[in-house]
Amino acid sequence: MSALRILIKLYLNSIFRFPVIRHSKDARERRQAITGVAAIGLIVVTYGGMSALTTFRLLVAGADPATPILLVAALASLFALAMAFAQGSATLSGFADFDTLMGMPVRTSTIVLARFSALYLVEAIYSAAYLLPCGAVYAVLMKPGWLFYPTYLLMTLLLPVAPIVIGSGADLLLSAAFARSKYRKGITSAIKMIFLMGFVAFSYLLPQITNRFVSAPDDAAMRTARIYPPVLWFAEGVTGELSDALLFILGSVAVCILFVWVLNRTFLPLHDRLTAGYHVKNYRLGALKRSGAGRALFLIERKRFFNSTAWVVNTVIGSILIAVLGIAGAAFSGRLMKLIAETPFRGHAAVAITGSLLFCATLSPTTSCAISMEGKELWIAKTLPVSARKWLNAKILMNLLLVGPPLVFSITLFAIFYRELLSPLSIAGICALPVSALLFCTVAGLFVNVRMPRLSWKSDTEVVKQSGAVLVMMLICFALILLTGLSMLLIRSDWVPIAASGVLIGLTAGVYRYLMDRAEQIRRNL
Amino acid sequence: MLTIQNLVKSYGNGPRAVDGLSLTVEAGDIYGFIGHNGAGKTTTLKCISGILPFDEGEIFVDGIDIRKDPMAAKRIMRYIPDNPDLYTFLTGTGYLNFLCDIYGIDETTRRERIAKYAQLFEIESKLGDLVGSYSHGMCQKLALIGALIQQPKLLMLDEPFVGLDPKAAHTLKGIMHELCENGAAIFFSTHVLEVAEKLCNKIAIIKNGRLVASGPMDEVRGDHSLEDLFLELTDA
Repeated sequence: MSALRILIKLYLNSIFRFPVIRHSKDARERRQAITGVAAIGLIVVTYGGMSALTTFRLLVAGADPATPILLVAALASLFALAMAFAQGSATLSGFADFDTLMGMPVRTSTIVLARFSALYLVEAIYSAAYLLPCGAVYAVLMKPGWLFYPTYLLMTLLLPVAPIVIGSGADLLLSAAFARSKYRKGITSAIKMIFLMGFVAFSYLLPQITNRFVSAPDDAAMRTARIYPPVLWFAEGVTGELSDALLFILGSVAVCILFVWVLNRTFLPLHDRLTAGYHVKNYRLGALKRSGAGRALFLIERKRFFNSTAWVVNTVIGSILIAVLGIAGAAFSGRLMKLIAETPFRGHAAVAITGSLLFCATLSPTTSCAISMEGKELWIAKTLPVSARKWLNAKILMNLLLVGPPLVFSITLFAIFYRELLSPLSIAGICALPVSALLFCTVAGLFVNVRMPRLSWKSDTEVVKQSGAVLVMMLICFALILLTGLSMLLIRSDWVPIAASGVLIGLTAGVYRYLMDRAEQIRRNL
Repeated sequence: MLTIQNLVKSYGNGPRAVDGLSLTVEAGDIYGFIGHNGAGKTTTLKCISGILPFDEGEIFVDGIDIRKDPMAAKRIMRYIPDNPDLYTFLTGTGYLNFLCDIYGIDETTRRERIAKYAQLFEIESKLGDLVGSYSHGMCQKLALIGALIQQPKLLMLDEPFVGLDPKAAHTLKGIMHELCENGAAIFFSTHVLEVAEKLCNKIAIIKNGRLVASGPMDEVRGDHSLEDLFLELTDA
């Protein structure tokens, strides 16, 4: 038991970086670790607020008491499933302590259980962030009996178990299936992207789903239960159906035991397969293509990016959404324009188009973790005879080439297909604001990463999803969208996007100049 | 080829990792750099190669001040760390080709040099595999090939023999001699005193960041064995 406790503590420390916060003498490193934990706290509070508001809205609207709990439980389950699918394999098989632990008198089952527990505890935090505020609002408004409280708490803790098992199991199978392919990263990234697109599409449908829960709660509940019955057992169980509560608790425990047992039995062969890598038989050195130093640096950046499934999944979504937005906007332009023309929102078409493109263009710049992703390989960039400016520019170029082409493509489509609705000035705004926001976020992302680099990491997920720079950049992008969106809505002038673009271009130039002027110093001090 | 004058380096507010170190490596030297763990060997090598900034002192590579013109200095020197973390997402050939692009080596020359050194280190059949699948020794060999294809004037190696198989270690010693005969200089750290004794014409011993002995091997060692001298100086 003590080995299990020690390992769980070790893994949680690795994920949340508590030892760095407590013991690091490097003030910058400590600050970064604290920012990371604070950002997680902020996300937890945001989720909690959303969950409490949804519950309040549904209960006040007179929905069935189980309905809001069912909806929030479904959301928490879906979130846990997405997270486990995105990083389950990395947590269960990615920690670099395998050789050390296998050489120690520690049971394989202990290692497996510790890794599963670490994954579970992280997901349980987010799950509790969704469910506890929902339960609190429910308790205040519905005043349930005392049995509700322990049952709700226990079932809240068990809710993420099944989604974790499904998500991480699928991720492990996917990783194992393509482990020996040269293109395994590309294939797994593509599959995860498709899954993520479904997840994002679902998020967009969320207001409609919530409305359906208000207007036809029984129908919506049955639809959800048909897709994933445990949430119905959860909702019915906490609101008084003992049989459903027992079914949920026993089912979750059984699924957990079964998964850990199977993982324990297959852990060693699975680890072998996942670490076997790609090998070429009878390799012969062929012709070698020559590139300039700048292009070579960009190609390295591009390969590093597409080699990291977590990085791709986290950032490509914006580019895909921009392209989808442009194509869908063009394909349905006739119907949409007719719809807009008939409503009082005719004047808001430019705001809607600009806002949508702005949101997608700034969703997650690759630059906010481009330096951190160098990790222990940074010594190569530091010792090569290439200027630090070229090195930084390669990182900037990566994000611009990832988001820029789909953005220009979509802007062109909107400008052509919606020209009847838009004035020349508003078209100029649609062109200028998303492009200038892209430039700003790209350069600002690099600046934030320079200030908050995380070069010591075991799994790229730590950098892409949990590093302080990425989380801070998310907040900056969110603030940018909020400020420009509010300005456009409050000051109804076609000049607002143009003026905002001017401000952004000015800021971009300032930050870019800062980076370029101090490029050598920045690289040396990393 | 390499001149270090009064080098001082501290990490944060901690004690000096390197404290007033001065030494000169001349063309044709195989200069061994020995010291106990944490003595400051790796820090010194990292300061020279541009990985770490330093607080005081000056470093010149072939007369070029590395603070004033780091690019020119880096063009003629190469550093290999003791545990080289290479780009795991590239194949061996991809990594070497990338280095050739950076150093502007033409297609014919890069192919010839890669083939030559890959054959010497017996790694040619593995160059198509991803670096992520390489063992520590193979990474070490690939890093060495990456440094050698550039034909640097100054080669700095941190514990180069750790992880290499005996044949590769023998090959590396031969290459080191060949490089120095052609006018290059090699500055390397090692814990293996026998290797330093047989291979180096000059030696420097560092203790707690300070140089305690340096110069031609025979002069520094005197009548002692290098092991006796090292123990005497570092225990003092």
